[in-house]
Amino acid sequence: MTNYLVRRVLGVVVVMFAVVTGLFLLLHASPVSPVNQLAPQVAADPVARAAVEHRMGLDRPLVTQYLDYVGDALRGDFGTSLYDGSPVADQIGRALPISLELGLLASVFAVIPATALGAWSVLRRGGVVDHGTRVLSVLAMSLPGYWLAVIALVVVGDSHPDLLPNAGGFVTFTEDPATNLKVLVLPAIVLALATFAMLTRSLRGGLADAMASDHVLFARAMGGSRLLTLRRVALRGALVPTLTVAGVLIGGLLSGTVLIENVFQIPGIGQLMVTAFQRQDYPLALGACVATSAIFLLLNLVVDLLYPLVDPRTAAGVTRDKLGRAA
Amino acid sequence: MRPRPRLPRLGVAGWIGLACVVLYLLVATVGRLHGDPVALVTPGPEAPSFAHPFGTDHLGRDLLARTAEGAWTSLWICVTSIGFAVAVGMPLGVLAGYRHGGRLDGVLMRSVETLQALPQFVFVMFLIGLMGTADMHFGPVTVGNGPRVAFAIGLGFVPYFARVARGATVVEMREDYVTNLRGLGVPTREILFREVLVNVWPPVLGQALLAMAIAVFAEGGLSFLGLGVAPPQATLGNLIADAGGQIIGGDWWYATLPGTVLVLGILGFNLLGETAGAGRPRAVGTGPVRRRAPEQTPEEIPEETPRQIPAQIPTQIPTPKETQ
Amino acid sequence: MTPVRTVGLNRRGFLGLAALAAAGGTGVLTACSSSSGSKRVADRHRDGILRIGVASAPSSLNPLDSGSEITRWIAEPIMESLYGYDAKLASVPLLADGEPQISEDKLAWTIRLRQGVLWHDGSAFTADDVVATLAHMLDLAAGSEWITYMLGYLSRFEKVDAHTVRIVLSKPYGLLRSHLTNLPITHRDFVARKDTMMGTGPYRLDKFVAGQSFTLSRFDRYHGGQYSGGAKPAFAGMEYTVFADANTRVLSLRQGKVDLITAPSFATFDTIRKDKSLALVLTEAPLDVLSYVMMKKEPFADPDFRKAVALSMDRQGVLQRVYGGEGTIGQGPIGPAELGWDATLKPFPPAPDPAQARALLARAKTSKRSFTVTIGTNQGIRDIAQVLVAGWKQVGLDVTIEQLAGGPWSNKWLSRDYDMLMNTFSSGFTSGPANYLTLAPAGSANVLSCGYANPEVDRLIDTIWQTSDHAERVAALGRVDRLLAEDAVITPPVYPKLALAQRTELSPLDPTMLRISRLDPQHLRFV
Repeated sequence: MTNYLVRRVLGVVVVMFAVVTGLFLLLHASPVSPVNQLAPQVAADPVARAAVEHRMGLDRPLVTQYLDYVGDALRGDFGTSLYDGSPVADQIGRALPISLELGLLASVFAVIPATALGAWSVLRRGGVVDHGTRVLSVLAMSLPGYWLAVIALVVVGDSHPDLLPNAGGFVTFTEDPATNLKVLVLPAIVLALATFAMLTRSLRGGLADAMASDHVLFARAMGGSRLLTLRRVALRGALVPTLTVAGVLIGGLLSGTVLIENVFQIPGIGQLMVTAFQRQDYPLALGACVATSAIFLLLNLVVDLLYPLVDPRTAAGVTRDKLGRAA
Repeated sequence: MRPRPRLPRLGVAGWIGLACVVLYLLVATVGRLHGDPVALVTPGPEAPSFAHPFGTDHLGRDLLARTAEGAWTSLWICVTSIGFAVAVGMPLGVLAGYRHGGRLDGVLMRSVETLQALPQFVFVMFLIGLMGTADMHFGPVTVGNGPRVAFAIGLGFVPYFARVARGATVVEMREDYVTNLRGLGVPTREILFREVLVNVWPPVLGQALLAMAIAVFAEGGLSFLGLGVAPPQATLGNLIADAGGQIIGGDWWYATLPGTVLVLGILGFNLLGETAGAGRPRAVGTGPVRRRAPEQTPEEIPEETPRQIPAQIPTQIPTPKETQ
Repeated sequence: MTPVRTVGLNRRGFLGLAALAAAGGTGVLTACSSSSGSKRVADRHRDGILRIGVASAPSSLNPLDSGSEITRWIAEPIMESLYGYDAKLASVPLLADGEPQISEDKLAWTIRLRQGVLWHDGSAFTADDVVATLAHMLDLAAGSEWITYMLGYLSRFEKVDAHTVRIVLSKPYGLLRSHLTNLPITHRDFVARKDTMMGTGPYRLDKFVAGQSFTLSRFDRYHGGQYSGGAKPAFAGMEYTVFADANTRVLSLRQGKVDLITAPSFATFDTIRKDKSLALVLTEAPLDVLSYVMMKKEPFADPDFRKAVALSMDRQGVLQRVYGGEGTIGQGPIGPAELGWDATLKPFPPAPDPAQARALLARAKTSKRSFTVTIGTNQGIRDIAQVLVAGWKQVGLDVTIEQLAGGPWSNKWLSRDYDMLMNTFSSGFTSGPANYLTLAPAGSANVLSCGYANPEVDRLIDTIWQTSDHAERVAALGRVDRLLAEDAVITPPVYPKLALAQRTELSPLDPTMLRISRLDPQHLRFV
């Protein structure tokens, strides 16, 4: 078990390093260089240009710049934004909790209906709810969040003004929970849609299979109602396939926040990343991508660690990868 | 005899999906014949009318023509990107699956995993951010943003197809016919390309349709953020973004109609992809939808249950809806 | 075996619960929202804070370096310059004490400074601050746009005593008076800082969240120079909030969350006009649509091609479709709110003249019929470009649009590697009621030169910059405008009006100040 844990954590660390290196190299090889941010008068004068390059540290060998960057990053210093000179770590530190909160709300909005509908469709197989759920989930998967968000914004904006960002800037949870939640409800619902759809289908499929398995049949034969067996037995079995797609769901949530935050003007990490790329603000873009990648890998790691709890076979050393081979 | 891949049977969902895609293509073709997407035909935005079935946009251009151009642009970018992803990902996956468990497999899969360290859309956005949105000039050749978007989205899908192909190859390699052919002395390359590949194609194709749905969505998202194709060329995402500024003026058609066409495309490919995927034996669980589940009543226990359950637990193959 | 009763929700129960939840949720939300915008505004005004919604966040908080609209608007209540504009837009002393003393040879300006002025941190305002500010402008590495005004004219700055400054010039520089009326003076320790503003104005920058909001509060030890007759600043504080989305901005105004917004999109004009608690403010102001063509290479090196392009610009289309008719048809570089404006100069008709354009193209020596127009990334210039491209297509010109963000756009301008360059720009912040910077590329020796070499224009530009005679300057500006228009060197499609929207609970914005792009919030009050 610890072997598994250690191997997974090590794997994450290695991938993080690879990601940081890859991102760093790519950004420096990119045709859009930080030097483009200079005022025209400076760029025209070779002496001034060289002076600024020296100040920004761009005239050192690439390896030195990389090592410096990694060293600083490990200490929590991601450099300063090229756009307005504020520390990147500060901006990320402010934006990250907001995105996490949004993601959490969206997860809640996705998991609860998904469990309910998934269970219900399995209980009433072939009924209206079953078919309705299938239609609903496919539709929910096919509606782009950015389109829904644009429509929702205006439809709701006129009738319920408090669901939109307030003057005075975005209010965080610690400042005013009520206002903060009010503003995040709509974006969370839109964000939750696709996750909800995938979860519903995954749960439904997993539950149906679990219900079809030997031990459930046995339980039913022993007199347990469908609902009871569902709760006690099948749900456990359905968790495994759901956890497997959880990695994808998390990725989907993280990606989704980028677009949703943009439309609803929520100052989260997705919005930060988009503006950084639109302005070609190197350090900020790199920092935001590294942060997102770290979160993504971490959450996947957590899911991987939950596996042994749910599926004892994993504890015996069988990883998610190898499960496909075991026969 | 070795199993031959069957043509997928279209259920209700499949037919609806096909209808959606056909409708999408119809709008794309008819709309292009309708008018010029760049010409300014009315003094300002106008509601849908006989002359302009989709109305006109904020600059007075016919919206049907622009939606059609957008639908076409989105379509060719997505087809190119998925094609690229399959062309690169499938050989990688087959190779890794063939060398299953070996060092090559490990190296290939680890490197593919690194590409997946960022959520897919973020990764694509990052690539576009790197390349910038301005036209790139390589000597006489000018590469606009369209091909670059296709490349970025395609690259984002390479790990996905590599895994599908690898999973399918691994299963195939375990089949009797492969060992038999090996025993007969058939060279490995021939086994791979002649026999195994034929059986690996169907799951890849099914996933390709689902991936098309994501690609259409992702391309729309990029254009929405302004990182996609440059104006005045229309893409569906562009139109939705521009429309965002118009709804408050009461111009409902601008946001809803191009958006509906976009949804048609995504929905169509989703439904087609599921049906295509559902129409063949699931030796490797390549998606959350289980073919067996809806068709079976709880009393019916598949005979292969003891062997199938471990294999049916999905491996790390990511299911389609990673974005959004 | 007795069947166990199924427990749990049946279909009806579930639906009922869902409906209840939805209704309850909406009910709770509605109960929490205010009844109307006006009531919200009245509640909000009790704290005496003016709230302004702006369209973007400033890239640099240093008004010396950044000429961006938003930086200057935030800086207005905070920073002051040596001279200011009075109600007739004449230059009057503010931080200076009286008119400058100009030496006989016109190469030295001696300025006495006002005494008893305090910075927001409590320290005293002295000549050191002025010298440091001016020196920073001349620093190439700082990247300030003011350097274009300083280079070649300003030689050095001297502190004569604690309250007197001397500026030494290399050439007579009449325009320096205009610069001193627009140049914000900052504390000597703050000249290079991008992360804060230190000024002498009636309001101080308290705190800000980068990219989101900027909070100002009244400075109680203000020297009172901007207020006459015992008047005092009315607000306890001000708050600038960034609403990047135009929709959200207008919605916030309608709901009463802000008192004033900038850049309402043209699509929302009708909505604003219909709402009786709002007022739409449209003024002629020094808002330029910069349009430069590179005349050192094909195809714009050919004057017939240039004129054909200028003639086939759909000016009327841009005015109607992008600005809803609020503006003036563009001719030469100088617009109605700028010195040198000549309403009779009309070499270009409002609608494109395809026949004449095609004739010119046929006559042109160049055979190229395509070019690229490089624009910025805001929606306005994007729409303008799309309308123009559609117009150019009518005469057989195939135009590609290339969008670049601010930094790369400026770099492209400097590299002279463009065909046509366009962007929106507010000239009022550095030039007052004029747009000197816009004319600069027409000079053959200028670092931003677009390749135009006309000795008369060069001479006129020198006159504009060097003369102290206002009438002479205006005449020279008029002449340059005519030459550049007729030669199709700088031909913007429109002169847009400055658009703002405010609530009626706020006193009306001052139209005179708006003519030089100043919001002047420190003189507003709640009504």
